[in-house]
Amino acid sequence: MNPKYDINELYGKIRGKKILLLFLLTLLLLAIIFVSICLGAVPVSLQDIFNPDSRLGTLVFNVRIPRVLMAVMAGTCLAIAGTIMQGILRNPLASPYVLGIAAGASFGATLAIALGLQFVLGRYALFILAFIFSLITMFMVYGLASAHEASTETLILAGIAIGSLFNAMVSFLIFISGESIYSIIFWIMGGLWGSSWEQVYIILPVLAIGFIIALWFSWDMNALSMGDEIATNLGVKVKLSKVIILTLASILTAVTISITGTIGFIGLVAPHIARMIIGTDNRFLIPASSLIGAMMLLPSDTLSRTIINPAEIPVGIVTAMIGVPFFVYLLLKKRKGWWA
Amino acid sequence: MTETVGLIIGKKDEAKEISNFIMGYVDTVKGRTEGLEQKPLVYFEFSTPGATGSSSTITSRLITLAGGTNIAENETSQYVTLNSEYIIDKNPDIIIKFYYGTEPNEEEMNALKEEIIGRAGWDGINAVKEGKVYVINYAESSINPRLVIGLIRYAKWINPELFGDIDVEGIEEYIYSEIYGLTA
Repeated sequence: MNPKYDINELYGKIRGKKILLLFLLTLLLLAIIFVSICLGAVPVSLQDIFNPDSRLGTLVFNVRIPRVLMAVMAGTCLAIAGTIMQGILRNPLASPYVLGIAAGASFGATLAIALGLQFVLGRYALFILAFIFSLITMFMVYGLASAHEASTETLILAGIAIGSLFNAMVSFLIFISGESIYSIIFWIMGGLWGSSWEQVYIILPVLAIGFIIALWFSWDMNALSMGDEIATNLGVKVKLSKVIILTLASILTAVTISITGTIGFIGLVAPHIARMIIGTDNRFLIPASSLIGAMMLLPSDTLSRTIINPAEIPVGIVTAMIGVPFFVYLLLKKRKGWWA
Repeated sequence: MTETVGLIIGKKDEAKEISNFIMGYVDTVKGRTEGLEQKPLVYFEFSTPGATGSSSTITSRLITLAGGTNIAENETSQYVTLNSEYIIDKNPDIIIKFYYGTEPNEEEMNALKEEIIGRAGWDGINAVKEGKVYVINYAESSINPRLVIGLIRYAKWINPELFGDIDVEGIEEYIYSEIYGLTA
């Protein structure tokens, strides 16, 4: 009996199971999207929802659907960013927030607003500055940590320190720019409230290309998870892969944050939930994490806009209230083996 | 209230004068809007998109006095963030946005107005269609003598046909020079 055959069969089985799992998660997400489109502050019949020419149909098409799509995509972007950061840095605590990348992006966006760049260059000025500063933060944190042999603690501490610095600089900018900047910041980074098709078209290509690049590098990330030396021996260009992946995480974070403002928790937790469900192979982990990121933010947002109709509660409250108990449950249930 | 403060700081007569000035306008506005059958719908917004206030807020009271109906007047909490599609569905006739700044800045106030007009799906709202989106300095709609300026602005925006004869500049002039003692 050829032992190789058995391994292939086993691998095929596991692979099949994981693909099935991804398929089921996709179906679940589609179902949640459908339900979310049906629910809202203004009751709309199914007939009207599918008739974009009716008054309420237009309302759903112009306001509710972009919001649902934005929740899906923002959740996905943050989850991918978290997953690839955790993978490449081999650190389960890495996330756009913990490492200060989000703070860097907010600083960039606020700086653009304070300088009035959105009047001159349009909204893109925000993305560009947010991206530049998220990248600066990323490499500052990474550089600081590498200088000390990149221990787990140094990386996180460096992230928290640099993040605090950028948050302080955001407050300083607001302080020196006067009160009027508040209103401007709110309408530019005001969460999912003002979601529009325009925003969907901005974030969609970034997400699509980012997702493909992340999947493309999933083998490299798998190799890197065993250490830089092993990865080098397996033929991975370690430095280049790291730079590309960390840059990608910065772009995903920067674009999301400059549209929605800060949404915490998902970038950290979605990858862990995905890892508990589907394992650490990045080829499956990245899609699973994307789906779970969307499945965390979308129902939270739907609840936040419908639970005390017609008032809204901040989405962060709902995300934490649903997400944390679920996460704790998974932690208790699967005490070991979820972080390879 | 104004008179009580006047009594405390020993400026009873001045306080009486200010109070009379403000109450004069309040009575005028009240008199003209009381019998109105059609009260236009008004939506006002603080700095966060969707954030407005119920009938217990000063602005809501000024709007009611000026002959309008605040779309959020029946909300249970005083400050509330309304869903965008709900506001669109309510279809207000007038939209008022607060500007927070020590000195009014034309460019920023215009940007706030443009932002509201450009919101997803808001082009269907009456106020946007008819060009009735206004930006006001928040100081003119909070508790201080200047709220009489806010009241007159609201009255003119909500019921322009009733208040053509009163102009805001005159009131501003009186408040800034007589009450605050500023010289232009």
